[in-house]
Amino acid sequence: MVSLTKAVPYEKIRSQLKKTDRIAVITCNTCVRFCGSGGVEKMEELASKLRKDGFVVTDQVVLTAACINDYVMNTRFSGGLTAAVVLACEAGWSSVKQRFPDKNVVKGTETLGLVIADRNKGVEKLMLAYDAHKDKLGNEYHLLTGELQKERVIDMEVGK
Amino acid sequence: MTKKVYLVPNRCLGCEECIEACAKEHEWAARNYVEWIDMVYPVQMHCSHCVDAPCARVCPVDAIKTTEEDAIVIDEAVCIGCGNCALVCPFGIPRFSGSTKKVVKCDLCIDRQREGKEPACVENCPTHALVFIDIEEYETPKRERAARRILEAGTYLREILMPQEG
Amino acid sequence: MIISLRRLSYDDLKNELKKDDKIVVWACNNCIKFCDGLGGREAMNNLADKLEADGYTVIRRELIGTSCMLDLVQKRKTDKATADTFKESTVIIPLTCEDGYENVKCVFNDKRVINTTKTIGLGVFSTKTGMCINYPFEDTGLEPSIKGISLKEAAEKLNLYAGPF
Repeated sequence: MVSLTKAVPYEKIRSQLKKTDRIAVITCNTCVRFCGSGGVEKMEELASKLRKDGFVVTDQVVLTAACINDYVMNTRFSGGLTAAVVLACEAGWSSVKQRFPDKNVVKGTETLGLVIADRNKGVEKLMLAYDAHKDKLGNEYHLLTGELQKERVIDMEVGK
Repeated sequence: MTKKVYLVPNRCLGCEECIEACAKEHEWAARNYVEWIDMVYPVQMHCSHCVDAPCARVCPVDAIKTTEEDAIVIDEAVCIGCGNCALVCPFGIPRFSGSTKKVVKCDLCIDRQREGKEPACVENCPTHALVFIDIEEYETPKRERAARRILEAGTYLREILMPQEG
Repeated sequence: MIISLRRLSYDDLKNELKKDDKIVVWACNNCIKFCDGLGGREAMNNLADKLEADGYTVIRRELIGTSCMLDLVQKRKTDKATADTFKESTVIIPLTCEDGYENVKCVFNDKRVINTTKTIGLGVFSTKTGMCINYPFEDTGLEPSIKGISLKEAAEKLNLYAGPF
């Protein structure tokens, strides 16, 4: 629903962090959950992977919607935080960056555009896209996993 | 264990689709609520269908009964509209119907359940913030996640910070 | 949050309507509610009241949690509680983002559906600053930024309107 995001590969996230960082993994629990690029399970998976690779993850935070800045501002984080990995759309990332302007805030997802969703058919369709992803307009992705569907099942024209 | 409607709080956007769905199912009088705390924190409120329901205890005419689905239901034909149930409910759920002047509250959509459907609020919630499950189904994945975290924290301590500890 | 601005003034909207129209005012209650109150229950009721005061016939005020969910929109067409009203309607005025508008247009393809908004990207809401647009679509010409700009400022730059009718 709302925005379509794709997970940034783990290696790219990892390359932006230092072993001396104290890291918060923050996930939005709305749009990214429906795209398979965020939510509680993905956050736990990422935090676990980072820990196994020797990073220090001090916080795992679930926000209903990262794009509501009050949620970000009212969250209590551990002291001494130096970095955050954000599993949210670009707006959610901006919201977290507003909270931590001087810290390393890593994008855990890439935002493709805006979607409609059909829960009966289990898909979401890219209706409005950012320039880098205009070639994907009309594509349909499995709800909850974000997997690209070979066959399009929603019969609707798409815009820009 | 029987199924009830539970709210997963960090999924609720306060869109009120649950209220619209409930209203459509109950002659345009919704029986659930969304309360907004500090303008941005929505909390969906619905009847908890308590096992030892205070509303049923105080009803002077025995209008409030438990169905075979373990739903606490008000028999509107028997209800006299005294409002005692509303006074004692810890969650502020029962409300007076504008048309009948009697008390109405969530009936867990037992009619829909008997047709094999979920309650209307659950079926229509766009973010799956409302779930219709028994409490053990709700708790089990949480427990498993917490156990994994405890194990990882122990492993982390053991292998990285304090390898000499037993 | 999806950020949308209004394309039409209230007078523009009235120019799209006929006096014998049976109007459904349709409002999404999610992102657009936070877009300076352009959508949501209050905006829906205010617009419907305004139209009724101006002599139009509003037969239904339809609030939907998220208009970008196609299955929820489809339910309104088939649900026994609303099917007849929608059949009777001649025009639907959606207070939704463009995705929500496309869903309504697709499902109610035999009705006039007025496109009231322009969706310009993604943004952040806060109770301190209201809604800001942070990640606009490139063709708006607006710059992305962490702090974002207000919808009023965005509307001025884009020759659109912010806030409700």
